[in-house]
Amino acid sequence: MKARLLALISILLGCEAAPPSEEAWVLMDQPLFPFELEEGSIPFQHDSGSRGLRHIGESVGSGGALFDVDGDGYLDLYLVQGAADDDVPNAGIPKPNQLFRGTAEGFVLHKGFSGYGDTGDGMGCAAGDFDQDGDQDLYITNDGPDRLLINDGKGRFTDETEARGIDQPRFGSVVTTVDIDLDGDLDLFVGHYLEFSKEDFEPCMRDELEVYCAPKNYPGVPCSLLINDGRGYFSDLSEEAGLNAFPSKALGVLTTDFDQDGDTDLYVANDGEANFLLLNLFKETGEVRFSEDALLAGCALGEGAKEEAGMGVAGVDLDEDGDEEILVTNFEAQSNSCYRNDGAGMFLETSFFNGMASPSLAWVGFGIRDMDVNHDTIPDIFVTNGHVIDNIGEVSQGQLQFAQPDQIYLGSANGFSVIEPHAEAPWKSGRAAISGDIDNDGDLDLIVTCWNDSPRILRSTAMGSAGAPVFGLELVGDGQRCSKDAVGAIITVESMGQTRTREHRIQSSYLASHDPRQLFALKRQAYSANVTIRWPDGTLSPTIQVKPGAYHRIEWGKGVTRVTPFSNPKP
Amino acid sequence: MSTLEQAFSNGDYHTALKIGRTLLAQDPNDLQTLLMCGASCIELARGLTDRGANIGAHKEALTYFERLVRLDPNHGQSRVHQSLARCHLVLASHVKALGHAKLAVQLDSASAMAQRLLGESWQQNGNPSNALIAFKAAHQLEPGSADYLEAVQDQLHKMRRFGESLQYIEKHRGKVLSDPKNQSTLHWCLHVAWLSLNKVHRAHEAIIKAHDLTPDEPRLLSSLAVSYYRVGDFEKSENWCDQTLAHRGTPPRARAVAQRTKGQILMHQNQYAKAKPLLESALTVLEGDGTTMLALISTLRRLGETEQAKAVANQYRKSVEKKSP
Repeated sequence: MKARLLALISILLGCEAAPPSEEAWVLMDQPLFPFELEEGSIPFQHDSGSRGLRHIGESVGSGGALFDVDGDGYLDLYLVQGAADDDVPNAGIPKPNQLFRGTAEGFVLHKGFSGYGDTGDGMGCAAGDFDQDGDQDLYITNDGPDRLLINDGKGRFTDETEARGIDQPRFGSVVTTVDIDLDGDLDLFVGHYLEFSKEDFEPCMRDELEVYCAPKNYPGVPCSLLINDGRGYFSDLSEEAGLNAFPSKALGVLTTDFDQDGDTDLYVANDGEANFLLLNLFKETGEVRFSEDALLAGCALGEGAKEEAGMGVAGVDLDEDGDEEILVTNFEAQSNSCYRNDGAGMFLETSFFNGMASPSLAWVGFGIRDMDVNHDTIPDIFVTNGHVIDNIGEVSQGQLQFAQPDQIYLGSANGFSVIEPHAEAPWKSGRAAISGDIDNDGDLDLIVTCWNDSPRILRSTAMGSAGAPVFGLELVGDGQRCSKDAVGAIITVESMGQTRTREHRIQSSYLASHDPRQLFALKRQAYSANVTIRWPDGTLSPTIQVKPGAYHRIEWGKGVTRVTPFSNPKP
Repeated sequence: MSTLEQAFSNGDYHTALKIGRTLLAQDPNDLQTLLMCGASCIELARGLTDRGANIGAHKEALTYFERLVRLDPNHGQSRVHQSLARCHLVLASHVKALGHAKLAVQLDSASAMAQRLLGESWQQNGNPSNALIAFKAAHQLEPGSADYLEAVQDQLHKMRRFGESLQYIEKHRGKVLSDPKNQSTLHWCLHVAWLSLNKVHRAHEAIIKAHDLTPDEPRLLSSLAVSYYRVGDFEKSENWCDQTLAHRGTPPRARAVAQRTKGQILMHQNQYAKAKPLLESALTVLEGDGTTMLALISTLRRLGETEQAKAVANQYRKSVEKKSP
């Protein structure tokens, strides 16, 4: 059976594949999606800030980050907390964002960490070495002023928002790190959701029931581009970059070099509006400037030309042609989108053709993460779902649910088939899907944040069960030609006739900042892989042969500087 | 039986109208002839796909019925007011339509058609709640008719009460007459209901059943093509597109939907040159249809016709602006 499966998947058709045949369904009906669900192991309860007023911002939070705060080799977990408006009578004391230390035993609060507990009405965050001192700092988006927290390397943070030039008081949603001007540091692209005024608020009704209003009731707000001076001090170049011409309702942002001209472009998923493809003109003009091209490029709208409720985004090369497709999660009755990248700035929405669309129509998708769940070298997609209207059950007379299942779109040569990874567990209303190898065993685990609920861990047991060789990469830039975090580097992996390409980014999904390390499974017979890195400055690293079973730290200009074996997988 | 009545009862409305017009030239006040002429116009209008011609037929019908009412204000016939309501609905004289529909119901409260016209009139006058009451009353009077069930469903969907719509259908489906036409309409309603609840496979099963019951019903063909597209069976989808396009009774809109769907399938098979004429043709009927325009933009770009693609993109932007409040 396994041989047949390998034969079946040896040709990857990706986005344009036909839906699964009956045979494929049978083959896929195997325990190749090994996640253990851990409920209640993270002592955190999300507070959306909802106190019965149904202000729209309450319904869409919140996210978090997986990153190694103190350099001890374990991923720590930062979770963003919502908050009620302070003039609401039953607001209560706002709860701070939380930072949990990653240990072999799990995530725990740690007295040595400090300064992280922002109490704003939080949405998302991005971890990155903004001041290039070798540790990970934090940018937090709020429905209100954003915060920039600088790390001292031991998890003691200092709020340096104003001191470092950050003045972003609008409704921040997604934030992503990107080196827009190719100067070797991390700039910030901040998505804004919409303009909401408590004073002008009028409740929305559906059949005499008060519901959260749709985003179309509010005007959009342009995104912001904050340019780093190399030392972690920022200037707002939104106007110069032309962003103010594009009011957005941004919830998801994807960074990648869509037109393959050597600089990083941006894709913005808007809620209820056409999405943006912001092509970076830096390489051509030497100026920080964008042109918006989504409609002509074919990635502005969903199937049926709907202005969809874009939430989470992911980028992955499904068809192994060297460029990345754009995946977007959307509202119910709108399929999750797969925009196949045909090169030359052309995309084609293919979700109905690869099996992604139909299974997504019933759900409201939020976090989305491309990952090789079953280590078969074919990309799979994890999606967490959850409605935004808390009383949707009542409104729809029981036909729709607020809590919804997580889904795995299992990739094969014939497209995607869908399974629920923990069908027996109670549903929750999922938001962010944050990925990382939390136990350092060589497979990708997930933290799923849930609205007004506790987060879940989906701990992968792929290393213990799939039996495929896996290696990991940790990319480090020199901080001059390439940011320390090396975002924008292109990784090419060749092994046994298969070539895969992946752009190194840290933020994607929905309000999520992932483990910056990269994992690649290889075919079962493989003993090694050839890895080439094209750094953001265009420098091509010499091909490096890596062996499975370890993380390989590759530094700009130095090659492999450290090999850290995976820890033993759980039995 | 007069030749006029004979032609009408034979369903030859064209001849009936011709005879009636001649008779009215001799005696413009003959009530029976006015009635038959008006009714003939309305029956003829049912078969007209051209909107202008349809309006013209209803305008002519209106002159006959209005004259009849002027000559005989105490006629006491619900059907006359039903016809007047129908004419005003088509001609978008909303308030007049409502007045006549109310009178039609007053004169015959047991008439399902009068209730239905009242529902449509309330709908046009922006009162969905009253419309729903009237549609439900019509359906209650004729629970065996799936057409009345469909009218209730349409109204519930306009009010975005999709869950209630499915519950209503499930509750009343047992009373629908067992003949193929009514059962087909029932399954069409189930198709629409499941689709609105995003259960595409249930919706697909329902439309297949509807088609099995009435294989010659043209409205089902293009919807079958779209349904197969939706569930990912592109071979069958294309086949139904071809059948839709080959069927002589396919209305222009359904034909255009089939062209669009086939064009989309060809696009995904990298057959852009073949997709282009289909999409262009579909767009002439589905004016401002975003799906068709987006498919055409993608097709033109891949054929290297970038300027034409830009022109369609601009056309799309304008159509969106036009739709915006």
